[in-house]
Amino acid sequence: MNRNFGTATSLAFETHPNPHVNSPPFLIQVYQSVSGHDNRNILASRQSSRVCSPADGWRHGMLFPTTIFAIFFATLFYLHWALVERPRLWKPLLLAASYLFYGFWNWKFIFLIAIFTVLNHWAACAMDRYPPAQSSARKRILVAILLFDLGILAFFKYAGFLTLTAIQALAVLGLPPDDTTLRLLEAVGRIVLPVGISFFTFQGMSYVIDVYRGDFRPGRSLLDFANYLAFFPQLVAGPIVRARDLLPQMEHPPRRDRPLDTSRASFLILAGLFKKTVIANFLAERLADPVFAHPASFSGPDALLGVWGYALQIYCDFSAYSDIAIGLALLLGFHFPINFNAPYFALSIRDFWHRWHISLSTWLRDYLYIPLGGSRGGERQTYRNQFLTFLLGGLWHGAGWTFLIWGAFHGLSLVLERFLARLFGTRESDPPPTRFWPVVLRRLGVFHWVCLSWIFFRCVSLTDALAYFRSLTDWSRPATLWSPTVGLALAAGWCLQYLDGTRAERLWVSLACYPKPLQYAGALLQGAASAAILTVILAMGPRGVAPFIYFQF
Amino acid sequence: MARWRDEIGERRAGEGKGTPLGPALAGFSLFCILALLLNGESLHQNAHLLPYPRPVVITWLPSLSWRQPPPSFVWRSPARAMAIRLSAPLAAASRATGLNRFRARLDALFHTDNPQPAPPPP
Repeated sequence: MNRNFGTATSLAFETHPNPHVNSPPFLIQVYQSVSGHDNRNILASRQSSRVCSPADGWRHGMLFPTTIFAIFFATLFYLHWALVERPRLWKPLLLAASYLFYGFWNWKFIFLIAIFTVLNHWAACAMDRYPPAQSSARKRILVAILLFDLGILAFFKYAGFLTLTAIQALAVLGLPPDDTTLRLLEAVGRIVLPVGISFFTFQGMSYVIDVYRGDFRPGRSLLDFANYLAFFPQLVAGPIVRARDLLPQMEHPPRRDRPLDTSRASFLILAGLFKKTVIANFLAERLADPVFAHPASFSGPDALLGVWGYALQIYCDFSAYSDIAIGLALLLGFHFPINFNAPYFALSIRDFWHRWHISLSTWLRDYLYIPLGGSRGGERQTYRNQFLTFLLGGLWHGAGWTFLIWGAFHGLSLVLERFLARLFGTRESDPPPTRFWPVVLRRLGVFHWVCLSWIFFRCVSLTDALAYFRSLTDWSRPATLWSPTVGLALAAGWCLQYLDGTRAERLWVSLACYPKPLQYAGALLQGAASAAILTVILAMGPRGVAPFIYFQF
Repeated sequence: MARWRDEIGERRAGEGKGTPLGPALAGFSLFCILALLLNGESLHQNAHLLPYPRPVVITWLPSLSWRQPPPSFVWRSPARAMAIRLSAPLAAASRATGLNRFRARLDALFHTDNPQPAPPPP
């Protein structure tokens, strides 16, 4: 029956005799056995926050906190500032550096991003040639390019999930999969997910939509657009920078006579490294990974610690990436939008989404929620639009039921919040509470509500998520994962949200604010202090580095 | 449409705050030199793990026959040997300046799992 199948599928058949071949768990097993444990698909690669050795690092490409990236960036930094006033050399250099950075994951996908760039730029220029009066021609081009962009995303990201779901559904209906179907499943399982595809696809889509709407004129140069789309600090895990923010900066390179905000850049980079290598890795190893790997074998207190650990881990991990990306861009003279703003200090779910992954939530608002009708069509339509936006936002994170439920959870929370606000006659514009205890209680309430959603986000399957919820209710056994160090790491993860605008930042920035004769001394002092702090961070963190969680999206 | 921007950064840039390029380059250079000297010995100790040598299978295209796989050969990167060789003088400089002790003390303080000096590669 399966003579021509690959080794992995044959093994699956040997361990699972034919009578069960049409059962959904068997199909998942076939799919997983083919797709392996690298980032080939979302089912197998979920949330591996394992700290890997530098030898593993190759598989995860050029990560920020690695020696290879340090060599890459230091070389680029000098070349960039040497050539920045000669755009004919500087622009190709920046593009080559970005493609080299991306090629470290898988060099074949450089061609994908190059084709993506050319087609999106061509579509934008083609739309711009038609006057707004000829909206049908513009619309045809927009639809074609959006179909291409979404098709690329669907092929790499959702093909496995959709095929598996379809075959499972047929199996449940009594139509067992035949050889061809299983071979299709095997082929789909071999599709490698290009890292960061969701981010650069969304950037490309926002560009063509802005051009279609007339909000933005396309750049004349393909090289500028290629640099915008592939700019390495934000290429693989955001923030999703809009063309109108970054493309003009690519067209008019930074000037050498302008001061460079090195103090803020180094503060962001060092803070990001601390969050990622010390706090996020520690919380992953000591709390989140053990509990989420076997949720049924832990007690309620441990499960609570696990989800707290994951909530702070994902914040420290993702905001660290954004901070480092913003800092690196600043060192090269570019400005990125902020992506996090103390999300767990939110006083409502709506407030949370104004503070968490801001570039994604604003993208969803501008290109999905508002085109769906936003809040213009009455209360019911608003509820529907909010729910759909977050449902699709969940799907953006990954192809899986748990992500869909995570999105639906947030969508329903927003709907519920809006409904209750309407019921009690409160308005969004009403001032938030300012008294201490109401603020603390609301923050804790929102934090724990968000924590419930993280359980779906982090669990590999719905069965695991349900087991996790069962563990949360079992308070008959004491916590085994608690220790003073764990408490300290949780507190540090929470308090790191205070970092922006603190005295520490002001003190650090003041190092660079010396009068002119002492500018060299100030910069050297800051360089020396940065090296010492970097050494402390490296010593505090574990050996090797875990890939950033958002790389898989 | 409301826009989220790098408000602090742009305000600071607008106010002309920051470091001129000359001092910034000097500070960055000092940072690189000091970071290498402080971590040089640790880098050398871990060099046998860096920078990720992975055998690369290079295939000649196209294959003339579908029955046989196309001819290929495996290329092994010399990066590991180069990393060990290049980081050796760095470790020596780190020891000569005494800056390696700072990292060693920190390692002892935080009880990290940084490995002992690796055996020489085969």
